[in-house]
Amino acid sequence: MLRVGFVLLFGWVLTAKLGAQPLPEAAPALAARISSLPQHPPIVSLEFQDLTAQPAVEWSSFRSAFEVELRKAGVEIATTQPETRLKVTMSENPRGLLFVAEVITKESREIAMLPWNAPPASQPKPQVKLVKQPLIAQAEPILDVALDASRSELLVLSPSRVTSYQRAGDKWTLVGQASVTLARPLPRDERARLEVTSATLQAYLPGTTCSGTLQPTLRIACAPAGEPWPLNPRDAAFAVRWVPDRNLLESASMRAPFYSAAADVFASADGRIEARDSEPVAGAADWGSDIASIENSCGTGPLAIASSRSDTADQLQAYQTMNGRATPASDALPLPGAVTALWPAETAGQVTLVVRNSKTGEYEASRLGLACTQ
Amino acid sequence: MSFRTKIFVSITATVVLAVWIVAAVVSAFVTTSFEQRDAQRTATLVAQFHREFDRRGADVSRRIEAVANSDTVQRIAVNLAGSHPDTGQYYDAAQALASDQSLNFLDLVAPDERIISSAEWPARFGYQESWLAESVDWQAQGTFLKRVELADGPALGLITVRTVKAGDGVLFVAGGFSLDQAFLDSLPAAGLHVELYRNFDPQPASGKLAAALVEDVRRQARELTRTDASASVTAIPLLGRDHQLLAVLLVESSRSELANLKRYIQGTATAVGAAGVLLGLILSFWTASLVTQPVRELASSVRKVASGDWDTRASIRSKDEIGQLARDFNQMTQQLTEQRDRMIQAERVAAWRELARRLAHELKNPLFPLQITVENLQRARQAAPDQFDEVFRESTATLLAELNNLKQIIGRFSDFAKMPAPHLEPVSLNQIVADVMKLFEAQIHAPGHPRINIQLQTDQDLPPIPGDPEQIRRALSNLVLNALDAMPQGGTLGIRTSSLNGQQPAKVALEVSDTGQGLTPEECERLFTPYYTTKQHGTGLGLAIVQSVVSDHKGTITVESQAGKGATFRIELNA
Amino acid sequence: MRLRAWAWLALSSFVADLSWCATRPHYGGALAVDLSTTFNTLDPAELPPNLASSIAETLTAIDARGELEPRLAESWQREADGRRWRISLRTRVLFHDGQPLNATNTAPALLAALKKTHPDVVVTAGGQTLVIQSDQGLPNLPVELAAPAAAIIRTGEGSSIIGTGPFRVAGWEPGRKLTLAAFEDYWGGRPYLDSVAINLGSSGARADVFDIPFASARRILPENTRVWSSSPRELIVLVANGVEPAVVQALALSIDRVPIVNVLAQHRGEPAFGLLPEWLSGYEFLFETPPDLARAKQLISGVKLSPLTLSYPPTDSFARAVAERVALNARDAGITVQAVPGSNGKLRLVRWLLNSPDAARELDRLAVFLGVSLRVNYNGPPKLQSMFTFEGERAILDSNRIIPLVHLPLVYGLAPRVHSAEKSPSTGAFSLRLENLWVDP
Repeated sequence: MLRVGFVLLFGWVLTAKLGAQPLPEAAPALAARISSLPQHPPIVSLEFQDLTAQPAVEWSSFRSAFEVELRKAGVEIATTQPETRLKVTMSENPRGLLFVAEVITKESREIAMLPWNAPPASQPKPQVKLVKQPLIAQAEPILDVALDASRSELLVLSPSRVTSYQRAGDKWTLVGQASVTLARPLPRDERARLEVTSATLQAYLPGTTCSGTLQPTLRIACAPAGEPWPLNPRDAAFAVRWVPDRNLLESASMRAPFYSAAADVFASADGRIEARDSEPVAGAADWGSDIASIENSCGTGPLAIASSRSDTADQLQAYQTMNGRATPASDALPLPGAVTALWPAETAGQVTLVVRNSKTGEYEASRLGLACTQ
Repeated sequence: MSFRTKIFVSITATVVLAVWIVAAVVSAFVTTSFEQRDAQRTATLVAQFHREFDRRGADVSRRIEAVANSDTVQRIAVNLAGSHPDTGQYYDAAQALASDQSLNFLDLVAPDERIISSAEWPARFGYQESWLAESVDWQAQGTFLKRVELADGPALGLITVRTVKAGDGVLFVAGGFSLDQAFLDSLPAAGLHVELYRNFDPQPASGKLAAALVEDVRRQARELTRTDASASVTAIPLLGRDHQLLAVLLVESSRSELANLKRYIQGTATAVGAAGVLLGLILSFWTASLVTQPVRELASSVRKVASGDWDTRASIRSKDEIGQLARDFNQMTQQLTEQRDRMIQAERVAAWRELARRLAHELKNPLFPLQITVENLQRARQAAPDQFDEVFRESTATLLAELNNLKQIIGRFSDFAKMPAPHLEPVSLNQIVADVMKLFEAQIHAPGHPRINIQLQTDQDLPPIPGDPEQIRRALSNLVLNALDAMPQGGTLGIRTSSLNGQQPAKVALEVSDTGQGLTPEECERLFTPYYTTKQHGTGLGLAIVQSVVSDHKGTITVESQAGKGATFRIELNA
Repeated sequence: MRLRAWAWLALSSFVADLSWCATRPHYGGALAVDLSTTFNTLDPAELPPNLASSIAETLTAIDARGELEPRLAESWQREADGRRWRISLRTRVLFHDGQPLNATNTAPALLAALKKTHPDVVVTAGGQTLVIQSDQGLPNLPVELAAPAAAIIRTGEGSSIIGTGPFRVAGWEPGRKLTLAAFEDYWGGRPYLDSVAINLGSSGARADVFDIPFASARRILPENTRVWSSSPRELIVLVANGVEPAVVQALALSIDRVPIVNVLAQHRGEPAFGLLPEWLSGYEFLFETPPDLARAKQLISGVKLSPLTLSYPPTDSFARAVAERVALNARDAGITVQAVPGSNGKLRLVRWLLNSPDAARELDRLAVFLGVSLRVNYNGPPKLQSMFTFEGERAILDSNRIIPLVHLPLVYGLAPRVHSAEKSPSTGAFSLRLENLWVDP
């Protein structure tokens, strides 16, 4: 008859963190728990079972650490067939990972569980000539970011706030935050634009425009929007505004609303990529809705950075657009999720990229630049 | 048995016998006809069954071929030929295919003998059908009977198997029709009851006859027939692919029609017989009234004639044989009367002649001595007058003796002639016997008399009879005297009285028997004729007197005798 | 075959080709939806959960991690040991008729919902603040407020309802058709679609979105149809009533669930040994027991068996196929089971749908549904929830009245013009939400 006993891990309630924790750190906790079971097994055979989607390399470090911790806790691991089997299963549920340890003898089966938050999976490195520099990641959507010239101060525009950070080594330290008071609810596909000068900022959201100052502290005031604003800081002549309650832009010089624009190429609302004269652009059939222009330091004429979809993920690629035709100018840069924002950066030769990581759900802001290959 | 009864019995027997014979013949003929007809119908049905079986088999083969060649099956085969076959998506394909081809059963089976899809039992996907793995040329196997497992129990199917190449193996397509009541209903079974007994049914075949027949077929798988009063059942075994008995086709021909007909025939025969009996009764009465009445009348006339009324004439009511008989009867009685008269006349003449002869004989005897005596007297007077006195004395003595003898003879005749009518009064026969025996006792026991044993058997319960005691005594005395005369050397004299209770009217019997020399049949015949005697002496009137007395008492007298063994006289008188 | 939890998310997203789309969502357009089910009321408690929340919202909600998140309520405070709660309503929320959401017009619906389980509850409304109190205590009030029955609605014309969700009711033919129109002033952002026409009781496969019940003709899909499959949400379970425990155990050991999943469910779903699917509990593998016919026969060797009826919903062809398969498996173990349509059998095959990713709450709801007396009221920290739900689930299964069979996903067919812009992939794996769908122009 199986007797199932439960081990209450109150201790771990106090010490477990809500944030992601490296897996090997779970090993001592689990080992200590097992060694404190009423039926303290001095010798066990050890089995592992992985029911998660975590990479195998992540588990191998945990297993090694766990075996060490077991021995430290006075539990010997036997390779022959002792009376007690210890079966550890790495499982997961919506709250995160779940370690389940079964101590199995002929007469009984005792079970211990240890929930754990898995760290995000490591990002695969891009292998293109597009160079991506991660800036910051957060759970709340990032609509736009702005760096100062020294790249030591970062402003992050989110649907509900503007946050300022200061670089401290490799990390950004929060230094200020101001709430965004929306005059209208944002569209479901949240988009917005951040414009920053040395001391002021403007945030252009659909239906709302916020103006603020950075010094001495970050302060903004929001009001219903109306006036147009430059899509590209280096092209003040091309002014756009948000279509009310929509994720579309409109411009006096454009016939129809559009999602985005880059170097006289527009991603129109009907999904086509058109030139300013509304003629379709050849070679852009698989472009997505997010395009942005980037100054080309490796050649002549700006390039358009366009999102598109590969077999498994979104990707970015640089194109040269000329005479109504788009020609790839770089290899595709695969992304860990869907592009949620692609804006010309305040610095020439850079593009602000925000991607929603499909695995972690976090919004990751990056700066995209071009590295010349020739 | 009266004539009416005989007529009734004759007519009735004739009618009943005729009806019975006809009924038996018709019944036998009908039975034979029925059996021939049933045998023919059964044979026809069985032949039709086999034809239908073959036709359906060909139909099944065609439809299974169509399924095997269908796009769906080809797709499944291609899937199986792939590197990662996944046939789970086709688990309900068989139902649609079976429906298209109107099949009751259809299984699509993978090369590993696991069911991909089953129309008749969809839940059986993945289960193994090992029998398909047998190395059989399914094309040549044709259609066969098979037990098919279903969710609610097994069924009998007419199955064909085809194979479709699927990579290194084959995809099996096995299916067919259900052999069920609908199939049987398609057979021409007018007047027959057809049942398909499946050898895996838990309950036995319906009907004791059918159940017994199934058991027989299980022991020896061949066509068998059993018959009883109510039905005739033929069983045809249906074998599966491995010659195992899967089902038995039972063709039952009800004999109820025959039984009803036979009952009808018997009923009709009984009714006709009863009508015949009634007819016989009526006819007998009518015939009797036509025949027996005149015959009875004739018989009555005969009885009258027998009782002495010779002048009776029968009524002549018809001109047929009975009328002719009556006429003949009348003629006969007429002739008899005439003959009787003539005979009476002749008997009278003969009796007178006999009387005259006897009288002459009797008288002659004494008269001769009278004549001689007178002549002697004459001679003596003439010749020897001196001796005439003596001669006259002797002669007158002789004359007186012979005259006395004559007187006796004439006295006997006179007595016989003037025997009076009996004076009837209740008399005890036993007493009369005792009286008579007392009279003869002295004579019997006289010295020198031959030894006579007397055996006297009297019925003590003898009722008194109406009679003249004197005449009866006289008759008995004559019989005793005759018996004693018949035993000159001695013997046994038997006298017996008995009561004849079984007769109507009641009678008593008196027997007198002796152990003398007996009588010949001729003598028995003439014995009671007056003056007939076997004795050397006597008038021969004794038995005539006995007969006269018996006749006057309305009785009868008979004699039984055998030569050398004595004689027994038996008198029967009314009690 | 058992898919790992997160693999379900990847699979559903991958197959649907919805989440990673470089094209930005397009506003506008009408969506035609065909549902094989039907309903005759717009009561949020009776509607399919993802449809209910598109029209009427609750004060709180359960997120993809099974944790509470604010919805119409921005925050809530527990007072007096859980006998009183103070709830702050979100501002700038409008009802479909333009009325702003406040405590006064929220209170009636809330009171009506809470009275069913807390007869002495009192709701006090003031401005944007609701005070809810009960002397009996309301330890799980925030979770209760997430239930569809607690949706904040007002009654509209006829049988229509007025909610605060992204869509408003534009037309309602009970049992036949529901027409929704985008609510322009939705506080969470106007939905992409202009309108949604939902045909009920439809078996066709021609709409933009249509559900694909198992064992249905819809499995043959039009060309280019994409299939969106949620994580396993529906439990097919056998409920025994008045059957000897040894027989129930033997029956459980005789059932081979893998063919049911692979064939009848077409590899969608997974064998169920526990009540909650593996992706939700993380420990369902502990209940896994392979079929063992020998052991099953041994269990019933001394038991006097009589035929059991297994009833299934008459119009559910998938349930019928599963019931017949179970009857066949039982026959192999020597147990006679007859599958009949209806609801009165000694064994009943029932379907139960997860409403949220909250394991403890769903297990409690399931216990009520199954009519078992064990209740799991978990009030502790989320970290310890798994052990408590495991204990509760173990207790329910040890009662030998319940035999889980399979966990099935919800499957929808999507026309090529339909796309989804899910806020998070894990939410997308749980349900298909109308407000996140958009169509090509």
